[in-house]
Amino acid sequence: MKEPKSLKILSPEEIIIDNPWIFWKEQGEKKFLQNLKKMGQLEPVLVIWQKENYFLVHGYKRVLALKKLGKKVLALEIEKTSPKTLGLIYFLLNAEKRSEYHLVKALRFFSAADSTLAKEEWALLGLNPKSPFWDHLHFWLTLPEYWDDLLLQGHLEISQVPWLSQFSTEELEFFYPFWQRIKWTKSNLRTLLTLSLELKAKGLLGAQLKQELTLFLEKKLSPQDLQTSLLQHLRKLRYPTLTLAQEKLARYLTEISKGSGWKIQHPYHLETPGLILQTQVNNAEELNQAIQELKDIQKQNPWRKWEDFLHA
Amino acid sequence: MPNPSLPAYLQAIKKVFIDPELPSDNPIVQRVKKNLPTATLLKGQDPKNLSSSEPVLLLKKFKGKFLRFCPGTRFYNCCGYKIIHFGENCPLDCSYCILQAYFQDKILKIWGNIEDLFLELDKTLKANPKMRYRTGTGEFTDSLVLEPLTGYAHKLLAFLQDYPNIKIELKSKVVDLSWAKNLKRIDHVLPAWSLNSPKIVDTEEKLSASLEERLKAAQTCVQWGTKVALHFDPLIYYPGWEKGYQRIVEMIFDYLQAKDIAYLSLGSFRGMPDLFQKIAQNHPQSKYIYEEYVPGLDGKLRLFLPLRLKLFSFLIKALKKGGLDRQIYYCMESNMVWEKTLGYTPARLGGLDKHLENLAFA
Repeated sequence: MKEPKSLKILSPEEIIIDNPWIFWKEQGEKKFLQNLKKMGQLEPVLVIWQKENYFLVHGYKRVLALKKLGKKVLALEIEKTSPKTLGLIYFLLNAEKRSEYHLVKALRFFSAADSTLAKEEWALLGLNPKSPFWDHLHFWLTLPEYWDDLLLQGHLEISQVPWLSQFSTEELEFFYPFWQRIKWTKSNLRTLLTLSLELKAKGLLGAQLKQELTLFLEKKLSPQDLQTSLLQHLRKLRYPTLTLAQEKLARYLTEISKGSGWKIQHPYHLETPGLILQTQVNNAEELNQAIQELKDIQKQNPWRKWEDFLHA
Repeated sequence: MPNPSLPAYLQAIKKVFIDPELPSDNPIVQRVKKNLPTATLLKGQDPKNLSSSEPVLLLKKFKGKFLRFCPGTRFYNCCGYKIIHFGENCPLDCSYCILQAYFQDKILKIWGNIEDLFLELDKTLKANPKMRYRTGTGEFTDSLVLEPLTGYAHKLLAFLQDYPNIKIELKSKVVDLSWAKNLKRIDHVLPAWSLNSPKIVDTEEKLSASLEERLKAAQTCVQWGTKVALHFDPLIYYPGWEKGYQRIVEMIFDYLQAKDIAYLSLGSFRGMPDLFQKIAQNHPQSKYIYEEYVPGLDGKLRLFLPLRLKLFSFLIKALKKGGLDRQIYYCMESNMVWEKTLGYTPARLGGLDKHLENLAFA
């Protein structure tokens, strides 16, 4: 940290606040403003004096709030130094902000020209240049800056980079609206990425599929319906024989249990002819009825069409 | 100078780690030293500390049981084969190889204490003289891929030639018949080769012997008076599989007659999900893992049954046309698959292990 020079009382207009090393610019919420009004400014902001101007180093929210309150700013002037060091000071003084979005924003600043950090400086930021997380963050930096909002909104996570990095730039741009528009559940997002990559490996992630998927976006479906229908579509393409057989089997099992309280399921992908029959009964009378319904199902012999399902 | 008579994948071994518990006059150590004269010998060092994936060989004193059951599961019919465990891993680097997900590292290992293996075999075989042992060495490594370095198979077969109740299957994808040299008899040996469609051999095996070489070697063994075993495992579903598998079946009968084949196994490609991830990572050009695989009853991913049935029915029809019948069996398939494609289950054969034992000792 640079040596402090002197404390100043400055007007907010005297301080230049839009500086590149302030990479996490945030407006203070209402409560912050109220607290500042009630308690006054208890800590000075940090500034440097350069080219006949004061430049803010730390205290963005406070300067904006004090300006709004029409108050002067208590500022501690520190020795002027390089933008990289100012970025480090800013990062360390705001260390509570450690979301992936914040890290990416900080790295975009440090990755800019003449801001390359030494190993010890990366350690100050809590990052290990040999870790997979480091590689993932650096892949993210290759994406356009507007992608960072997907991290901020929680629509994508750095942990998804191993999948994202297998797509081409063009493919990522194709998927961007799907991720921008809705927040996918973690499991659905994983399925979407896996199925899309497997279809890509099979050479099926071409113009036709992209056109088909775009139609889902245009349908104005609810987030849940969009996820479900899109994944169903991809699954049909990825597993054509399986999905066809499963649909046929599910229709058949529903038909033979129709009108009864029984649910028949086959979760074994035809590896065995096993069926699970389930119902719920609350008293002796319902039990008698369930037994009768089960006998009706038995008469239909649920396995009589099994051969049809085995022949793709 | 590396030994030019060795295949390139063996010449590539530059370091041999030797377990300090193996005496310096150990015959396997001596033989490896002689055949890899330029390799660095490292006694007492741990190869796990190696940072690179360079091919190394570890000669180790094995302290576990050498003779063990094949790791089948209760959900599917297992052939009951017993493994003579003499080493782990394989340098052939076939894309589909289950060993890449089975073992934690890729280090080639050979159990140098062959005399302990002989003691265990002697004790077991003499304790149960009426029991027949259908065994093999090709489960955790290829039976013959390190033979030019170690001479292990030859030593094992020479030792076992006086035991009437054992049959040793040598399952391989290379051609090395040096194991037969100077043996009094070879009827305790069942030479076996893994086969696949020519396209799969070209694209997924790369370092193995050609199909022609394998079948020619099988033919030589038959001329010597022994039967051979053949294995289609893994059968791989890929666009054009019918043409490829039709071709290899034709090739089999160009070199062999049905009566020369003790048995022939069929097993479709399968594995824990981890294996699929390893293949995607280690062999990104291999696309067959993106066919329709679903979790089976044992948690392994298997080709969706209707597709598997197509593949099996096709192969069985072609193999039967060549004269094979009861020699055909499945590795890890359900009774349903047996019934639908062969018309019977292993129970009709008196149990698969008994049936194969009879065929092996016939």
